[in-house]
Amino acid sequence: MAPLRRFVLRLLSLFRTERAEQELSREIDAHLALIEDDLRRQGMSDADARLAARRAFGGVDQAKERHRDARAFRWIDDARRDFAYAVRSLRRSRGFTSAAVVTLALGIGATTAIYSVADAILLQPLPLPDSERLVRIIENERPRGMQPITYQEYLEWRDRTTTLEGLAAITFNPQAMLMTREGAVRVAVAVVSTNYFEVLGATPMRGRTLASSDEAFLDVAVITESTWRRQFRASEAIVGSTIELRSGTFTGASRLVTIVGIMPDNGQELGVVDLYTTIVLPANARPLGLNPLIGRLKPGVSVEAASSEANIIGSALRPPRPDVAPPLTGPRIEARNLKDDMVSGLRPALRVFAVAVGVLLLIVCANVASLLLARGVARRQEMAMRMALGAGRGRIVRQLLTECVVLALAGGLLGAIVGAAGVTLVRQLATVEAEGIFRLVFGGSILPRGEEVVISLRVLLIALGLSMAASMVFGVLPALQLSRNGHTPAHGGARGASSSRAESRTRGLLVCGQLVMATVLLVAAGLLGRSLLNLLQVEKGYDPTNVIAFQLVLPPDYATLRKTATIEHLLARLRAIPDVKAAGFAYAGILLSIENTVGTFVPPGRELSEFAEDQVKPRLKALSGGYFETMRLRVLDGRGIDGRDRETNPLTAVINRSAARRLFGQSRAVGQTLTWHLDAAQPAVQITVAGVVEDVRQAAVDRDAYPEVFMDYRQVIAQTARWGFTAARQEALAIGFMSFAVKTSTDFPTMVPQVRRAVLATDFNAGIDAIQPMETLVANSMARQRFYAVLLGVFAVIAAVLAGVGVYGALAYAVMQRTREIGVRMALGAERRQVVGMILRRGIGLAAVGILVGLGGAFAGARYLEAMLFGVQPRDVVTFAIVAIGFAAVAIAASYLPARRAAAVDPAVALRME
Amino acid sequence: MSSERIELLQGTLDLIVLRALATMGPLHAYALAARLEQVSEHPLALNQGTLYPALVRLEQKGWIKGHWRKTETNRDAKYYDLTAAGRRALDQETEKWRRLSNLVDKLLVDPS
Repeated sequence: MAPLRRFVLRLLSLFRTERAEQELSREIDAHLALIEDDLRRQGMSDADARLAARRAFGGVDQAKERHRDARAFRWIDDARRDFAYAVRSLRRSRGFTSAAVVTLALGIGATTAIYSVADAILLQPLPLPDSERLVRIIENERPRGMQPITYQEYLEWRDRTTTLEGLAAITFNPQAMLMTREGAVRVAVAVVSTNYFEVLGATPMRGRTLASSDEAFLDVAVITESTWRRQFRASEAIVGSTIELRSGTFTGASRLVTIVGIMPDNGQELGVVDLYTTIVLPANARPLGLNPLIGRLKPGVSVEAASSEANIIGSALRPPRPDVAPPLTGPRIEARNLKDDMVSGLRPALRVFAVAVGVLLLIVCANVASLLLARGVARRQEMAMRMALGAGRGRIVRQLLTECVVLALAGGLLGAIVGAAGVTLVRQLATVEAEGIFRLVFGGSILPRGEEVVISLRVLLIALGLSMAASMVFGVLPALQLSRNGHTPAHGGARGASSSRAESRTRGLLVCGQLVMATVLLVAAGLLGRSLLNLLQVEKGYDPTNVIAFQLVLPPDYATLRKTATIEHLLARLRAIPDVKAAGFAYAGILLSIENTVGTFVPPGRELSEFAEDQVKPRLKALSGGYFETMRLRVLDGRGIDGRDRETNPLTAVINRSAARRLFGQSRAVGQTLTWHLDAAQPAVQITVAGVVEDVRQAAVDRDAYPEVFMDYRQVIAQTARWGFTAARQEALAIGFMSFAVKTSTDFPTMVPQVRRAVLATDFNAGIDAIQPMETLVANSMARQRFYAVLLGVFAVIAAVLAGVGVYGALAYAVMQRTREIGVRMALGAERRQVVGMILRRGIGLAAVGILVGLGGAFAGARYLEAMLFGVQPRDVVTFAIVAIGFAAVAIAASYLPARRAAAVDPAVALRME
Repeated sequence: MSSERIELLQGTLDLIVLRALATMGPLHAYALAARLEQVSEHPLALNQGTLYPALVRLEQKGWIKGHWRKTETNRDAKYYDLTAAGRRALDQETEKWRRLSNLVDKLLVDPS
């Protein structure tokens, strides 16, 4: 009790120094007075009494010191005094301080932001228990035409595995509808085996997850938190209620499912999901989606062991690879750590950013180091004076250290703010503005696990520590040098040539290093910037300007005929809007990346076998008249799909340039007849080619066009019906996602209500799934390149500015040091031009070395960028040249200012400087 | 005289101050110093200033408490008085000291 009380009081005493000091002085004065009184009473004179009293008391100051020692923690007090002194001295040289603090903040902030992102994505375990034991089973190099793993194969796999504790299957159904009171709503459904959540170890936020016991009653579902908020207004009563789910391959045409629980959004790692439900039999023979198996390793089992087992089981279960398939380059089937698999796409890019930001931090340290060196040298006289006055070397070093700590702390504090802003910026840059079906295509963010990205305190502390260490080393170096040399260089700051040669070499090295690193960053940013420019300018084959894209949602129980009628009515209504120039329909719009290959198209006089094994067969795209006009697809020959190809007319197709080249080579396609083979069981049919259009980059702006055959969607329905397709398959090929495109003469916000009114007027049950400007979709398609280019661009600009400042600082300092020399030269007849040349030469020399070495480094390292580039070679000469010339110009400009100052030296003043 | 000087063991000064205050009632620092000199018949001959760290230590522990009062000679002085906690502490510390000094005595007397 008493020791604690004393500890607290000693701490508190630090803040009440003044009162305690007054009280102490008063007490000691009284004490002395009392002694004097006594001594005077014994007959001493006043003067003698005063002296004797002092003697009896002992040293007053010593007593006070010891009182202070006992009263408060002295070392804290000392540190505080050093700290206050450091702050005062830093505030005096405002230019130096703000330069150093801002530089440090940029370095610490940028580093913290990028490493926080990398840490959250690459290093942090998934937010699932023992997540490092989760693996995904991957079938490598699956040949074309071989279907993915089926549900039946999954079930047998699950029974055979001995390395896995559990094996689950997940596949995605993008076409499911949730029936709500406001009409049908598209939901992203994940169809999972009942043990899915058990294998993942995921815990629900409300209710329960699906469980193996649900095998008995499969009509259950789990919704995600965002769906709960969006569709059910976060109603607590939702768990236990029944909803209607329609359409889709695994869910059955219409199902009533009971919601048993709600999953938090965090931890939805495998894709965009609104609702999970069970796989309903008889789905056994149907293929699941791509790589649908997720397993959990038994404790102690390695991924390698699971991999080799998966290869054995998988190879036995899966159909044999056809002889024509290219030989495998590795194992056919393997198990891969789930997290590694999820983030593998972004790993190379994050590695590039981590290196870039590391380089930036090095530049920052170099800059702060040269700032501190300059300051240290400039303060030599002050230090020498202090030493002459008796300050110990340790005391001076300690005080310089305090200054460095204060600098680094200020930089770190500001850096934390910069870092937090940086993380927000990264998340925002990575966010893709997409709703409805587009969210499934583009994802919510180009960062996997983007939701988990937060600023990492650990990373911040490491960055702070690094810069603190760097500033301490370079802040104290001059002081150590000083004390090594004894007191001699007291006036040497201005004159001494011997010590400044080593110094100028150090500073030259620092500046060169900065230039090298900044050059590398600039080249990287230049390459990515050019990639983005290329993307912006690439010939897409369509014009997204003022085009609105939306997906229609109709009740799935409408007959096919009613759906086509609704589509036609809606098109008519849309075209009747005054601001609408054109409107069209497609089963899946541009950038939805949904492709269908149906059968084989064979030109006249050729054999089916010549085309049946093509690696890239022409895709079938069902659309309506008006779609080409809306998207401004260029008709090269003949005509486009224009609405006259009704279901009763002979089959007509329009093909794109790639398809024309493959099918007809050099000869004219228009007017020729294609034979469309489905399979051996169904009769082939004839299609007349009515036109050829320019290629369109359908899947994404950075992906090449593929051969396409366009047909009127009503003809596709008619033909697939003749072939005996089920209504669901007919609709999947011809109506599909019901993408509409509307070309308008006005802006998006004014058009949206008009489009919505047209939809409601057409059918009261119809809804809109996602309505967005086509231009936004195009921008989304480039989000990744934009993200890379902007992020690296920011780093490169910071690096270049810092390096420029570095050059300027080094030369300005050199000019300051050589003022006397310059004065002498000028007094001896040197012209101003020569003086300017002398300083410029040094700047250009530094720049030449730094930039050349940097270009070499960039040349060696550029191949790491390859995967991030579009339409530009990693060793693009133009980019290298532009960076070299531009940066050289910056460096020369940075050295010109000090050179001019040198030329302005007045010899008379310079010589009198002693 | 300096040869007769006794170096006080760490902590013993605190105990002595507590004891003096318990015996004499409230004292100011000078009176305290005078009392210590009187009791020890001068061999301590301590600088009176050395009392101050002990006083602040004890006050911070809550064992004594200082008040400003007038002396008989009508001067201001800070008088220190034992608190209840101080009285308890004095008993404990005295007991501890006794045990320690007994032990040391025994060890010193033991001829082997």
